[in-house]
Amino acid sequence: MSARRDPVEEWREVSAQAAAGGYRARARTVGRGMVGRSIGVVAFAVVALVAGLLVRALPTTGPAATPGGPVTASVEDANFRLTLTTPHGTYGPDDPIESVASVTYLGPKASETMYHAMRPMGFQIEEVDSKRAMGGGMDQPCLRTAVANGQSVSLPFEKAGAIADDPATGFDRAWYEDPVLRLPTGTWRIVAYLDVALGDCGGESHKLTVDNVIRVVDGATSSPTPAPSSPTAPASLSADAETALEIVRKYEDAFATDHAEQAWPLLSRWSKTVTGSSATFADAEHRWRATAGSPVIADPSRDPALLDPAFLGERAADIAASADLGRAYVVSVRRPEVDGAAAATENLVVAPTADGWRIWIDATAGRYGMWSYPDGCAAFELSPRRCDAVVDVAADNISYDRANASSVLLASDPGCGSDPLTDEIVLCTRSLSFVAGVVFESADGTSVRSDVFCGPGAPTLVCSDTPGIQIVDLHSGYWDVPCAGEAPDGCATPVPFPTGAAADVGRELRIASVDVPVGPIGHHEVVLGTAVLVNGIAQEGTFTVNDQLQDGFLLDPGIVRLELRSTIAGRPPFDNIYSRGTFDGPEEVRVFLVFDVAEASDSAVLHVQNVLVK
Amino acid sequence: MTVPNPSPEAAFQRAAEELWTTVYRFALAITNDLSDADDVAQEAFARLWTRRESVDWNEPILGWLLVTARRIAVDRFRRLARTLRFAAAPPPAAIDAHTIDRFVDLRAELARLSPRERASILMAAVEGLSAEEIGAALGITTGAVRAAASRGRAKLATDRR
Repeated sequence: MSARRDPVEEWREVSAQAAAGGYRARARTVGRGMVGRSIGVVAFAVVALVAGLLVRALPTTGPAATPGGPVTASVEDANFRLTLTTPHGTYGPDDPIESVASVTYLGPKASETMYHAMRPMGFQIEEVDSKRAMGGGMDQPCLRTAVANGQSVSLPFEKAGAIADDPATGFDRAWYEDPVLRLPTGTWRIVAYLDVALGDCGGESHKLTVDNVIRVVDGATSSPTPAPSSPTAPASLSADAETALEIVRKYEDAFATDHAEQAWPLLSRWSKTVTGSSATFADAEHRWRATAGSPVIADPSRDPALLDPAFLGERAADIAASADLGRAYVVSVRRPEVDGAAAATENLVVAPTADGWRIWIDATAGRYGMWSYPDGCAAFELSPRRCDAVVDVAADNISYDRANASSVLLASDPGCGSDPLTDEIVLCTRSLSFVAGVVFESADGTSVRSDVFCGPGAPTLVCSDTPGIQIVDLHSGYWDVPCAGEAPDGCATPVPFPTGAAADVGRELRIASVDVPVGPIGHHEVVLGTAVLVNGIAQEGTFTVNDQLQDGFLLDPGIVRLELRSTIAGRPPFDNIYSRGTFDGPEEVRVFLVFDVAEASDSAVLHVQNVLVK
Repeated sequence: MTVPNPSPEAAFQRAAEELWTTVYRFALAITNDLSDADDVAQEAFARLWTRRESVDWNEPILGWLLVTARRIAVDRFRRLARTLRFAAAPPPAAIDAHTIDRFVDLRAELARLSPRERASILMAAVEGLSAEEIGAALGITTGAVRAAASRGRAKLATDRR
């Protein structure tokens, strides 16, 4: 019997052999950085303006490529939307290609001034799966363009870039000098980029990139194009394909307008069951779409490879059983790359059922609405630190040892037990707010879920990166309930307090303001001073930490407690007048602030104010 | 005499040659799948290519590549698509059949470890990365790296008894 090899050593060899193929360059969308700054090194050839047809930009939420019709795509940030529209998806080699980019101001002001290089937008071209490219570029003076809120500035395609010596990598001088864009046969990605600053050149930077992919085919001509805003689909699509496309557009529009409840009824029963609940569906899709780019909906396809059960996965059997597979379409929804998330394609299946056309989502049962930890923390808008605290609390809530988890997943809102097979969005009535579900998976294949909520209680890191501080003090001292019954039926009143000379022996502690160093991690008991109580009766013991957040430190729990401790040996603690009783004469007490520090910077302090003990 | 800085394209090429194996191995440790690892590593370098003109090539680029690879690997839709690719996409043609066969058994053994545990063990042992470097790539603390490596080694030891 041969000895088994060390898996690490085995992995070293196998991974080295597998990696031997190396990096293989492949065509991708080119996203140029701040062009006005970086393009200065580009050898400049010719900049020619194409006197092209200005095409009205499509809405952001409806980008789509139709075979003969326009190709359009949009992307936006908080201030601007960049839209690129190309009148056709397919051209012949002699056809002029009249792409137009437009930028729309979406920000909070009535108008805004964009500072930019020669123009606010530029263009690039890349051949898909090959090397020919027009790199783009422009001179870099600091110019400005004003744009009113909701208004657009459009710019037709213009050529700019370096003349290529090798026709396999770019274009020659004659091509650049021709103001009309024509391209050789192939598949081409036309890229528009916005590169502007607000305030001044070098000010707040806004960069957006968007692209259209078109094909140039021998013998093809660009057919007359319906207006981009025309709701009619091109005639080349069958009626079923048009229906499938319309269903997916409606589905995507529902999320774009923040109406997930309009998307839910479009789902097949299988999809609803996989998602678990309408609340989970709405929550999960919202989280994912918050970090994904604007969608581009591809043409419906009945490619046998896409409708193969091996490709469709778990949903294949349900589609075959509950829908007309012969009329099913795969509709791909592509989302461009955004920060923190890769470009992604979701392959929806749309098919007619007895209840009408429905969508089978691209999901895996048992994993829908889940993100792996820690990478999924961003989807839950949790900082790494806070996310870790959420997982800790989730484990504590079910007495689970995190070390036993082979993997941890963050899960969407579980909803409130509604029937997933209804079309209703059932709103949860909760006194707590959902933070995240946490699923701990063990190596033996079992898993356990713990949901974390926030609500009333001591401020914690789980509920905020900068939680507030809850103060616990004696309020206005001891109170009694001498009236019949307990409060609120009865009436609480202060404990009777001596007057006259007996009261003169008292000495209050009053501090207007003091900064208490938070200090190192651990339990802290900080002496604020002493007071003398009359007959051991606490009339008042209050303080504030006005409006302070735990910023630069973390208390666990998020509580600062004011405690009085008698300096007279044997006196009981201050809890209530009944168990403590009174004392004959003056009683000196030391006044403490008590708190537990979990994290702290060296300079962290508590801004304590209005201390009053008497 | 001053030596001019290499062009971004040349700098990228050098990075691809020098760092490809490390990035591929990191992706393989996380995904435990030859196809996915190749896809993730290719994508990470492709993103570097798109940023080649804004990258400070005088600074180490490996950390950025590893973090990017991790983000790519855990992207939700890639995870969803992975179940489809198992059926649709064979391992990259560049990998010979013998290597694929060897990886089948190894993959099953390493599947008992979490991605974090695999990366913590393998990137330290094979690529010689420090706990700090691995932690930065995985987005966790060095303590968590060491804990993950410890748990992973314990699992491997248990498996081999």
